[in-house]
Amino acid sequence: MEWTLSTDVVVIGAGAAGLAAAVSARDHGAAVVVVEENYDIGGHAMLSGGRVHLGGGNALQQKFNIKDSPDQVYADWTNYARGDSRYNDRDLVRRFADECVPTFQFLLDNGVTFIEKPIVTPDASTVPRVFVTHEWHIPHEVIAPRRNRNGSGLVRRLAESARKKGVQILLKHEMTQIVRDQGKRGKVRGIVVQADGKDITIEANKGIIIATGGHTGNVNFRRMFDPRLTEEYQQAGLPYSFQGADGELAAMDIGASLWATGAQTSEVGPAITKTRHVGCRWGYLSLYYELDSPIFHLCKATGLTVTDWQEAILVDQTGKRFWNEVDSSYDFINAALGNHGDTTKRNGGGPIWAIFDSDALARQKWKPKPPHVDPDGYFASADTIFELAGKIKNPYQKQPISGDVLQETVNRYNSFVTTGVDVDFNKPTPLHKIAKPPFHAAWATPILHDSLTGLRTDANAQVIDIRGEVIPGLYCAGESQGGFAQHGLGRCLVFGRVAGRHAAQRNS
Amino acid sequence: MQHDPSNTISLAVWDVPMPAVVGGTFSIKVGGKSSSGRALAGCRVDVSDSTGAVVATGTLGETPWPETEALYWTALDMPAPAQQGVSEFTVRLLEPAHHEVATRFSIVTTPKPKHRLTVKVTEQTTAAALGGVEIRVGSFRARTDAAGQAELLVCKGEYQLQLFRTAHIAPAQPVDIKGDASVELTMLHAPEDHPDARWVR
Repeated sequence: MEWTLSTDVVVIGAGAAGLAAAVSARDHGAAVVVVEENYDIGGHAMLSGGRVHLGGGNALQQKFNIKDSPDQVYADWTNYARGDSRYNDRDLVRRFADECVPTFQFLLDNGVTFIEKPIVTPDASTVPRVFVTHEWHIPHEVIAPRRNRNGSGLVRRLAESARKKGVQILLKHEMTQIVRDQGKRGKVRGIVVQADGKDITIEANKGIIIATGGHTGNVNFRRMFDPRLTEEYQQAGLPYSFQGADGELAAMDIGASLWATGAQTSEVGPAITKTRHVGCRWGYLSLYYELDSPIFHLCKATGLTVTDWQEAILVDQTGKRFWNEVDSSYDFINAALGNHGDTTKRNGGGPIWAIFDSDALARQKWKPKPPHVDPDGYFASADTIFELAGKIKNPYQKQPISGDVLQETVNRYNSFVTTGVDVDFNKPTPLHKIAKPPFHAAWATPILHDSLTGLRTDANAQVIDIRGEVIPGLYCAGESQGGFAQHGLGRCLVFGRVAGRHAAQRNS
Repeated sequence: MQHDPSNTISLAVWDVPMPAVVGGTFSIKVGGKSSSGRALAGCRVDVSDSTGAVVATGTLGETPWPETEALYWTALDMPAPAQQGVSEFTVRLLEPAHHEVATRFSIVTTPKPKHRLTVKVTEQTTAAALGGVEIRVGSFRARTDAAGQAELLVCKGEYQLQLFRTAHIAPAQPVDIKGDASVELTMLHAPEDHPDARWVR
């Protein structure tokens, strides 16, 4: 193959894992090229809360006198009693535990700054290990401004440092293939990318690091682990960062294996969540696009933020309630993902709609107009409940909702408000009738976030093939890596750094 | 309902009091909408009880309900049931060009409440007045004003007084109503978790 470019290490993806890998590889003497399909760096981490989960006794933990150690990190994240720790590959967790403290220092050394306040997270960690980065200081370079999306400060700082150190970052370059020598022990040689409609080949003399951010947005891929997750379930992070499984697919094309796949359905953490902002397409819990977001023209609406599910009922694609609306547990999610009577599509539960009236609008000070809601399929209003059913039109709503059914659902629910008892789903003390016109229907379908499984690697982040052998020169870090079902940035940064270092130290 | 999508009429019923007084009267609002946008002013609406007896009748007015496209409406006064408890009513719109269009609503009736219960709600830690608190005392309900105060007329009896407000918690409070009474209650501000932390283990 003729190569357009040649370098030591190619990193695919400029998110948290990819940028850490690039800086680490450069620090260890390698020439580095990063390819990123998006128009800007950051990936999912750009939209994250900047909550960096590293412990083991890092510098800020010491400052706050938080007792921790690598052994405690290892014990916590291999705890058999919890869903987010029992399925983890203990070799990976051991390496993670041992690399937390140096990775935290690595971030400080590369200009990342933290808010000096430890955060307790509802996960396997038994001591506070999370510190939050400062938001990036240039407003128009923050994709979700003023909403505590402090991950912008992490990825902008790492990208800044990478560029200063000589890393070449190629934006709008989409990897389409990883090139590997023939044969069982064949090395990876480079990648093919598309840019401006042309193929470009990049040779990687030492290694290729997959940091493409996971598979959540790839319907076909995610259904390998959970057949229910059909196309109506939107991916958190869109329309900015697409988790398309590009890295996983390219690696599997050359023999790579997946790993710890059961973690994806362990029903812990925010892998699947209730929608928090309704009436827009992407209403993930903590992600709210303000009007001055540089991608607001793609988002189309902020959504209406629901802080109390007493204000609405939730109905399925047939117009019927299916669960207690104030429950946000996986019991709710599983009910939403049940088959709700669509005989043309057995998997997936179909759209879920929040139904409410003008009194709810007044109580919540919601504004039922653009840019707060997206009337192009994700929000509808009508003078009566019957009429509202007919106005619910969305690409994922395959059959119209019957006005009679929705009217009966609302009448029945209103009778529960009269009596104070929800005999169908035990919603505690239903407070408000849905009675005063006009009425509204807002998209409230559960949304998908974490990729909790991915490519099999060893503790050096080297990708393993389906026969259990290392694919020479190929690495993976971040949400595309399998074996460690930890939410957030910690594992991405650690294994990005580990992969970059190991790749840089390989013989060509 | 009519299923000709080009010419369907549907109904809404709102402002049903919670509760009504046994043997008294109460008011509701009824609106009708034609999917074609045709004015339904002058159409007759009836309300019947569970036995089918018509208990109220009226005609839709000339002006659509605010914020709606064409929901023509009227207010109806009607007698409350003579018995205490939950009752259902059916509302029908009678329009010559259509079959009957109907919907239903429910109401709870109590004896005439004679005792004034004054409730003041403050935040437990800061002592700040809490407005917008939903109060439930049996079938009786109220919402606090900006000063954290509300008044309810209630019947004699023992109740569990419940308070509801977003991001605030308070245990149900037993109250024994024998005459006019005042209670001062607190709710604890329980800030919502950071959205990133709203996971279920």
